[in-house]
Amino acid sequence: MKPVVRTHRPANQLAAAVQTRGGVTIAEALQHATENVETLRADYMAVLDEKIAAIEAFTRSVGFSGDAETIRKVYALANEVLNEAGAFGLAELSAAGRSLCDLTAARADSESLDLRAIRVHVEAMKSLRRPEVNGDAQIRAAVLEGLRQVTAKMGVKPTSGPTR
Amino acid sequence: MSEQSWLNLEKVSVLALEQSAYGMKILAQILRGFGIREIHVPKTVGEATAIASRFPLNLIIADPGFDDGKGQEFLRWLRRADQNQNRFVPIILSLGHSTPASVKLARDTGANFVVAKPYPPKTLLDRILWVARDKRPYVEVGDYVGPDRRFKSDGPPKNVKGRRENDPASAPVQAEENAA
Repeated sequence: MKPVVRTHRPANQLAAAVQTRGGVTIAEALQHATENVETLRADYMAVLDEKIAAIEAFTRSVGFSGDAETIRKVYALANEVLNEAGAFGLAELSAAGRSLCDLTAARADSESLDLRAIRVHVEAMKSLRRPEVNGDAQIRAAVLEGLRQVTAKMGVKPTSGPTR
Repeated sequence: MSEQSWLNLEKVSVLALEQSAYGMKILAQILRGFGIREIHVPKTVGEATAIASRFPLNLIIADPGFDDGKGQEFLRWLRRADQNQNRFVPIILSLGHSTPASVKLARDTGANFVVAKPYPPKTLLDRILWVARDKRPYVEVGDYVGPDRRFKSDGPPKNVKGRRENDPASAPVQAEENAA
């Protein structure tokens, strides 16, 4: 049977709102947005450390066996690290978050998750927060390469980040 | 648009749904930087539903993971809410970690555009201006309610009869990568 298709042509109110006169240049808007995000940086670095510590706490808790609910929580925290650290230009930390997401998403329904791989990710994130690592691009790249090897060994296919 | 083009988003009303409290802060700061004054930041789908039912919105920026994964459910509800004034408001989906399956599921919510996190402010502004220019009609077909995924609706493929009453006799259909 031919599917019924109903078409709607509502006015795009966003278009109307954007066409309001005045305002700022796009360059100024982008500068303001960047400056606004920067005001959060110092506060966020403490939040980031708390999130890494929370992931670590899960992996160190007595009886942690990689149950689905705990893995789901680890995935959610890793996803937050991916999203938020990236917003502050911490590309390698964001990539480490993505790698942990890849690992836990791929193994969420499996009993075969090697918990050591999660712990390696936690250690990598902690090391990326240390000034001597954070300040050295080569070391940061080496840390990420280590994570890539860990996930590859487990047969996890890495997802890609945004393309610009 | 060039960086010297003028922009006025003061009258834009945005509903922002982020997965984490800090993600919400970051998004709100970016939007304020763009000059947007009315930014609704609910904490739960219940609050989001109340806002969408009460205030006229110009844009929704949503992570489907909002409120423990209920963001997607909210967007699907809104697109099907016949009496809601915001039913066809443009939606930009912001996805963190995602798999091809989750992207497909997210697109099926009826979003206008998908943007991958983390993104710099410029990427988000580009997407906002893109959806402001988006002139696609919205369609309801089967389980899908959202913008017509056929970008240049020149009709069905060659030698294929169109499914819509207003389809031209026969012409190529073009789609654009990245659009939802």
